[in-house]
Parts: sequence; C-alpha cells; structure tokens
Amino acid sequence: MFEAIAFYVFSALTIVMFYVTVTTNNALYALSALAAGMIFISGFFFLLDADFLGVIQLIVYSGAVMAMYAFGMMFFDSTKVVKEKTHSARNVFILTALSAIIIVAILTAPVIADNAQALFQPFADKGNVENLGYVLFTKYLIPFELAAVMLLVAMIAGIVLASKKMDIPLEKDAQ
Amino acid sequence: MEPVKFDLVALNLNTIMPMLITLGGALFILIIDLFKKLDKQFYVTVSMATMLLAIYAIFQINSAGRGFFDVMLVDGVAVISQLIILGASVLFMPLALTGFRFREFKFAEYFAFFLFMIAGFQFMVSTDNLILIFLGLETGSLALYALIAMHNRQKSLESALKYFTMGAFAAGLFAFGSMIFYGITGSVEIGQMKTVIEGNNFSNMPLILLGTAFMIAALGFKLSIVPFHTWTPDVYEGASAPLAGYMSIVPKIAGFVVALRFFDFLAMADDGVVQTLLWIAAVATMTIGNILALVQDGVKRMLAYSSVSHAGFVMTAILMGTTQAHVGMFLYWTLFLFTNLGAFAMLWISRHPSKQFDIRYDHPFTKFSGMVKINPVAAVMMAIFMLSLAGIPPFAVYWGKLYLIGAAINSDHLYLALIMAINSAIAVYYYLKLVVFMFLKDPSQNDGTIYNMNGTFPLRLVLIVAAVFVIASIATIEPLSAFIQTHVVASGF
Repeated sequence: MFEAIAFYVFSALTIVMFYVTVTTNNALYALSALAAGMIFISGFFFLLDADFLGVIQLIVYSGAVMAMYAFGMMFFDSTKVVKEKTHSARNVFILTALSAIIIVAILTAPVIADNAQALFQPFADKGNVENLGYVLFTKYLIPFELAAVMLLVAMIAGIVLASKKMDIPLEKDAQ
Repeated sequence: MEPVKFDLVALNLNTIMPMLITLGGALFILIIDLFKKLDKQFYVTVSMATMLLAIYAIFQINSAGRGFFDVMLVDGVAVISQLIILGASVLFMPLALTGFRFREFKFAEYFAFFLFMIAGFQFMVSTDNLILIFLGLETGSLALYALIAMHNRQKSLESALKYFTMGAFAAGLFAFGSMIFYGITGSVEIGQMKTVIEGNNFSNMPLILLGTAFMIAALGFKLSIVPFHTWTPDVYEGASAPLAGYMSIVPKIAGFVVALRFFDFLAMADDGVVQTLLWIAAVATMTIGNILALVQDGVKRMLAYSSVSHAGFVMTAILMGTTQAHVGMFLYWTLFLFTNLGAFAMLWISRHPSKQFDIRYDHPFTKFSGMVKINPVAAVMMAIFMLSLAGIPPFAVYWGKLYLIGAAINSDHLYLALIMAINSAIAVYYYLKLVVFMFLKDPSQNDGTIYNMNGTFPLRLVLIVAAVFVIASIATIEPLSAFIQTHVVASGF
C-alpha cells in the first residue's frame, strides 16, 4: 500500500518535472526542473530496494552533473527567454520517431535477455550495498584497482596538457 | 557480517606481478619528481630497469593459469604478447635520449605515462574478462593520447584530439558490444560466453551478429581495420616518429590478442557469417592500405598506410583459426616490430627543427634523394628496413609473410593466399620507391648533417640492434617460431 502510493507520487512528480524541463522557455527553470526530476527518480531506486543505485543517482546525476550544468549556465544570461528555432518539421518528426523506437527497444530489451542469469548469486540475507561490496572487493578487485589507475592517468594528463605553449623552437642538447 | 576468507596463494599473485612492477615503476617516477627535478637520463634508466624486471617476472610465471578469482588469465598467448609489448618498449625507450631537447622529455610524467600505458596493455592481454579488457584498453589509450599531445606541436595536439575522439567512440562501441554479449550469455568472460553460445548451438544468431558488428568496429578502430582506419595517417603524422612506430605495434598486438580470444570461436561457427565478415575486413584492409600508400608524398604517411596494410595481413590469421595461423600471427608481429621500429627510428634520427624540404612534411621522399652518396651507412640501413617491410628474402618480415601465406594454403583459403601474395607484390612498389630515391636520384642540396641531426649513441644503438635482428632473422626464425608454437599450443589456440 505504502509502496504503491509512493510509486504514484514519485511518478507524477517525475513526469511533471520533466514536462516542465521540455516545455519551459527559461533555461534556469529547465535546469532546476531537471535536477528535481533526477532526485525524484532516485526515489524509485529506493523503492526497489536498490539503495546503492539510489545513492549513486543522487550523488552523480543530481549532485555532480547538475552542479556542472549549473556552473555552465552561469556563463550565459540564464534569465533570458530562449527562442526556439525549428528549421524543418521533417527533422523533428524523424528524431521523435527515432526516440520512440529507442524507448520501445529499451523496454523490450529485458524480455529478449531472459536467459541472462546472474553468475554470482547474491547473499540473500545481506543488503544491497553489502552484496555489491562483496563482489567488488573479491571478484572485481583487479578491475576496481585498474579503474583507479585509469583515473590517475586521466588526472595527470589533464594537468600536464593544460600548458598552452606550442611549437617552441628546438635546441641542440649539450651532449 | 562475517568476512570472506580466501587463501593468499589461491590469488596467484604471480599473474599480476609484471603489471605490478610496471605500475610501481610509474608511481616511483611520479614520486621522485615531486622531490627533485632530474634529467631524462635518470628516468630512461628507471623505465628500462622496470621493463627488464617485468620481463624477468614474466619468465618466472611457470604454470599458465588463472588468478584473482579467475579474472586474470595468464596463458601462453598472454605471455608472448606481453613479451612483444615489453620488448618493443625496451627498444623504444632509448629513443628518448635525442640530440635535440624535446619538450616532452623534460617531464617526468612522460615516462610515468609510458609505464602506465604498458601496464594497461598488459592487463588487456592477460584476461578474458571484458570489463578488465575495457579498463586496460582505456588506461593504455588515455596515457597514449597524452604521450602524443606532449610532443608540443600544433599538429601533435590536433592528432591527439583526433585519436581521443575516435578512441572514445570506439570505447562506446566496445561497451555496447559487451552489453549485447552479456545479454545473450549472462557473462562477461569470453570463456563462459563460448560455453553458453556453443551450448545452445548459436541459436541467437541475429543478436550475436549485432554484438559482433559492434566488436569488429570497436577493435577495428584500435587495429586500424578498413573502414575504421581513417585516423591512422593523421595521428601518425602528428605524433613523434618513434611514438608513431610504437603505436603501429604495441596497441595493435594488444588488440589482436583480444580479437583472437573473442573471434576465435565465433569465426568457427558452421554458417561462417562471422568468418566472411572478417575475410572482407582483412582483404579490404590490406588492399586499400596498400593502394593509399602508393600515392603518398611523405615517408611517415606512407609508413602509416603500410602499417594499416600489415594489420590487414595479420588479421587473416584470426579468420583462418588454425594453430599455424596463430603462430604465424605472433611471429609476423615480432618480426614486424623490429623492422617497423627501425624504420621509424631512421626518421627520428633525421628529425630536423625546420621543415626545409617541404612545407607540410618533416620527411618527404625528396629529403632522402641521393642519400647513399652523402651518408651511405644510413642509406643502406634504411634500405634494409624497407626491403624487410616489402617482404624480400632473407629479411625479417619475409618469414612472417611466408608463414601466414603457408597457413592460408594449408587451411584451404586459396583465394585469400592469392590476394595476400598480390598485395605483397603491390607493397614492394612503394617501399622500393624510397630505395630508388636514396640510391638512384641525385642528391638534394644538403651537406648530409640533416640525416644525423638528432642522432646520439643510444639512438644508433637501437638502430643497430634492429638492423642486426632484421638481417640475422634467418638464424633466429627457427627457435623463435618453436618458442611461439609451444606457448600458443599450450593456451589452446
């Protein structure tokens, strides 16, 4: 009962928020509505007992991505009303149809992948996050550590390449 | 909450020892750099020591096996490819000790990236878990993009960005392909996938083909298979010459090993659709690569297209699927390693601060005209590398070509063998074009110093090692192929 009520409340709120995002002419409204929609989506994950994904949704999408969008918006005059220019009705039609097809494909994908079975049976008596921790730090320990190395490489590369001095003339090495 | 208990011996730490050593070397360089700014000689020494230690660690792995909850898979193929990767890196490293002061070598990070890249590719070849393959590939590629961009020319940055964009796209395709195969089989491990797909007798063929298409495109970008080769000449042109040579060998052998593990069982399906796809890709790659190489004005661009063609040549081994073909693949790549790295090192040694022969290219053909009259030793050396690339006996790549064409005939791919032979003949033309320029044309106006401007003792030593290997390959071919044979057979390919 409680879950059903929560599900419908969250669905209604999510749909309203995303509707506002798509229809409003004000960039600031669109951004705020999108952030709110993302937060409401995390509610579904909590309802489905996927606590970990819920938290990730909050931190990554609502927190990091939206905060970055917000910073991006600060460089523009975000209170101005955006005028949409539609060049061709045909393009709009094709893109809408494509999106619809993709949604159908996404919804039917689990039906096709019926025969996928979990290779690692989760511990029934443990929670979501504990189970994830078990898999991540046993089976996937090496990929987890390598991901850390990859992020380190990306970070150092970003710092090193930030210098902009190009095409400096070469000098002879004193050897 | 009770802790999970496992035995430390069961982890089989040996399997990740080589990567741990390279990663440790990279971190050591980064940490040293924090405290004291040191010369590039120091970093080159540390990197060389690290790589030699890693090679030693590979030889210490006695039994092929799995480790770390079956994520690591160090079989014979992984051992050979790691040896190729580290061998090419050991040959590459001294090329940093140049006569000119290039900006990238002032940074300790350059050497750290280099070791990180090796570790990434090592992980990529020694697992059959698609997640770890993906992470290894991305670690290696990210470090490689940075290495290219650090050459500090507008062109290098451009080529690094081009490579990065293409690479990111390929990574997306790889993820999609993996997702589809996970959907079909419920596993991200190639061994398990094989069991499931063969178990239900390829019943999901449309989905398998969709996933295969994604995988061919993703790996095709890395291996520069036509039609995913378009980035290759531009990126090689922007990168420094030795790095371009390195790129034509190391990331590709890593990609070939993944392709071998992945396509080996798919290509052997009864209806042969995947095999036909690979056939078309391989033939198109060697033919189009060859034809485009014919019309190039810059030697580096010509070598870039020629390496596309060589990749197509080796790709045939995967579709043949016989043990002889797989041995031929590793043999070819080992011989190609020395030859191609030698050819690119020749360009590096003649690197010049200004482009005095051509407004666009560092190394146009005209730069080398009449080289034999000015600098005979260098001209002869360059000619040896070119003849070897062309597959003229008794130089190195000839034996690889012989082995692969022989494998094609033995596995009843007669048309393929014919196309391979014709392509080898076409390739002779553009390699000999450079030889003709060097030996038969009149010298251009220069005093000969340009051919050796960037040269130092370590660079010449690398060239000598490569040239000696190319010439002496007639003697080394027997033990080399025997060594590769034992390892390939041991891992069941």
